[in-house]
Amino acid sequence: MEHATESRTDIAVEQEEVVVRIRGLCKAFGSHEVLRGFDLDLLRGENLMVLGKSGSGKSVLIKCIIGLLRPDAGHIDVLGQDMLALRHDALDRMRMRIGFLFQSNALYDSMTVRQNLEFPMRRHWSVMDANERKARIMKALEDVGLAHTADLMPSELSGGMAKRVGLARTLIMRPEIVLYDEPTTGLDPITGREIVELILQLQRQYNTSSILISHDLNVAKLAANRVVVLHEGRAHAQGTYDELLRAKDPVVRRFFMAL
Amino acid sequence: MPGERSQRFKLGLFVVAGTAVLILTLYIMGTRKDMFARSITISADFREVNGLRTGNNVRYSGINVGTVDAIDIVNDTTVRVRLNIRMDAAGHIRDNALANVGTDGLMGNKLVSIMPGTGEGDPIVDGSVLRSAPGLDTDAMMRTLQRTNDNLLSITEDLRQLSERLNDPNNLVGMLTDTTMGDVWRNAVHQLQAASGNARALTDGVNTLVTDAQQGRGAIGLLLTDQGTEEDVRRILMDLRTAADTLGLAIGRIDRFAQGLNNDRGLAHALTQDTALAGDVRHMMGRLDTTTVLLNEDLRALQRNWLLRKYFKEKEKGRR
Amino acid sequence: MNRAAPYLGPMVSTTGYRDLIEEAGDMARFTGRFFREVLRPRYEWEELLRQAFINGYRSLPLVAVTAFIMGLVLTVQSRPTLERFGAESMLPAMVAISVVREIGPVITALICAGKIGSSMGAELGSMKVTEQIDAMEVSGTNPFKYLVVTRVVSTTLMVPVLVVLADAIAIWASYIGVNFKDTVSWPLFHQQVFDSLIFSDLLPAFFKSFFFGFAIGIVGCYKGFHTERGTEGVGRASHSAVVVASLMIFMLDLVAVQITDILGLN
Repeated sequence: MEHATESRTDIAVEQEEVVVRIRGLCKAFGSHEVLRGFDLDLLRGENLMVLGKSGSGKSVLIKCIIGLLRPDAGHIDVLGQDMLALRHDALDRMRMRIGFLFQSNALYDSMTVRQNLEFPMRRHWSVMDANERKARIMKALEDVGLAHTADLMPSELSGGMAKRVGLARTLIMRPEIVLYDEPTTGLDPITGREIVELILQLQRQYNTSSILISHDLNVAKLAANRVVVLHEGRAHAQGTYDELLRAKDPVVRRFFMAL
Repeated sequence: MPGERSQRFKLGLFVVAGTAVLILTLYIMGTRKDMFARSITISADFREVNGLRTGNNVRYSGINVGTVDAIDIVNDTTVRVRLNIRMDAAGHIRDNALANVGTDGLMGNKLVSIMPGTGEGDPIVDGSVLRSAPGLDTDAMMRTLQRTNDNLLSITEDLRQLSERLNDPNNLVGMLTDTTMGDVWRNAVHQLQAASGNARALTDGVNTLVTDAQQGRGAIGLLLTDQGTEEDVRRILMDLRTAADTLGLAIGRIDRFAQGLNNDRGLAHALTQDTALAGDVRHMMGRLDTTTVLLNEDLRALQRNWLLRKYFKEKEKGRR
Repeated sequence: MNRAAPYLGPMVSTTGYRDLIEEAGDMARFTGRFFREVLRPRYEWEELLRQAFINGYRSLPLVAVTAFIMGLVLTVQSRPTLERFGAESMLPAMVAISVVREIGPVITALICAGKIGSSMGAELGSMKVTEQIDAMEVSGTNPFKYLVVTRVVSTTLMVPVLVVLADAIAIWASYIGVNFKDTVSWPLFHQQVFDSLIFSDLLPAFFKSFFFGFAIGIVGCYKGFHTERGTEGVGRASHSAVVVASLMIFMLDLVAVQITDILGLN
């Protein structure tokens, strides 16, 4: 916990804008407590990585942020709004400003790639004309280097391609904050690396702030400005990749032992 | 997108087809119930309507001409039935026509049957009231038949005993002195007359039934497609007619016999002198016997007939 | 509503009456949510039409074949019994009444429960386990509205249409069946059928088929929406959607016959 306190004073010193502020987040499933008072601040333009073992509650954390899960206690402020107080349309509008890349990509398998990318824009059809929509879809596909796949079905894509399409769909509404759920899981190391590089490139291009969750240290090394170690439902330690690499804490050490 | 447009077209076709079938069916059913045809409303009063319901058909000479519009109880003995009659059929119905409540087949829906009346009449107009005739009630018919048979059985029994006594010379004296004898005879004659009347009414009833059936009208009409059943009914009819005739004959003879008893020469003369009469009485007894046996058989046959089985089952139940 | 964690309590449909009652409660809540969502604006017309196409038009071939066979077999099977009473002429009326009142709606609904219910359970189930439903939610589309409301409304509206067409096909098949052993002209057959049918044969049966459609949609969506435990759960969702929907159809049928009886429409 001491690391967390330290870093918060850092932020105050640097006078940077906090886009996601989480305080005392608790979530339990039955008797199984997953999060027990988790705190986190995401700064604008920052790439924050949450590192944790499988089942440590990383996914639960970001699903709470976007409102897919409702926490039992705690506060989540996103872009100055209390996420837990939002309902229906207000929540949907807020969600348009947050991108979410699912671990399984979650491409709609009854739709083509084009329709998949069109789907998030449905609510904006009235304000966006057909040409603009089309242009945006093609731009998003070009960004991830898959302009030729527009009319394929998701089942026809390889794992890496599906991930890229997922990324394109996540970014198509130009979100300010992007949440990545295990972006490299299930991909071979080379493809995983390509994806991470793509994420970084697009992040610079669209100036997003992101939270990546992963147990993959390569992601941390390549992409993260800051790493938070999630252990037993709390932010156990945080710092840059290099700081954590040198840390003496046994929990943190265990993550880096594999290297 | 072209795929989407053809999808919509097919969906549209599908929904239109379904709706069209539904509406067409409802329309056809509506026209059958004369919902959309121009019609006039007439009424008829009945003592009872036998379970007639609103919407049942109205037939004129066996043709559907309308539907029952409403059924109201007017007072303790009258039920007024309002009938919607199609305009085109109304012109053919006269105001002296008779309405009765019948059944479409023995187990079918109730209906109002209008029969042309005798003599001249004016065409019906909106609000006309038709006279009603009691409907042909199979239950009542069977009850009459049963009663007739019971009567015949007891008569035959009485006559047999009587003739046995007559044949025994030892009893002749006793009988001659018996003053109640004349009353017994008179009684027998009355019973025979009643039985004869019943049988005749029954014969007429069955006759109407069969005629109706042949014209495809009335109660049994629709169900009597089975040749066997029709023949059964025909045979029963013949037997009944024979029974009625025999009874008529018997009554005539017994009358004569009774007169003979009552006249001044008395019974002794009748029995001893008038051998022809005695022979006649004996002969008549034999014929009555045969008739009774035949009628009994017919009744059993009727009981087995599926058309009437229900009636007898109920009767059986009632007895228990 | 989003009980996503895979290590939750026992799946429904394991054992015990408690689970059964809990599931009934969940399903009632789900139905309640459907009615709340169906009335709130932002209607997904596009998806509704697409679902109507899939659940209605695409089910027609299967329903049509079933109805045809049903009408034919019913006619051929009933003939010997009616022959014994010398009442073959009642065959068209008998088949028409039994098809319109009972067999048409119930068989069509059961076929739809098999076809639509299972595919809904499987489709929504796999969407659920591959996070597609979550993806929809985070992209600002209410998945309940987009997936459940459209599907339930489409089955509610399409099953009655299928029932009407199935009735027509079955009666037409009965005409063919009558003519196997007999020569009855179409006008006569038509007349015999319509002589026997009355509004209270057709209308209650038609109205109950809306409820059949609703049950198929709600059960299929409920099972799909509450799928857990990955691919195994998808299979289970699919098959239990069929079982529960079929059972509901029979129960609704029982209720419907009581209601028509009470209303005096029998």
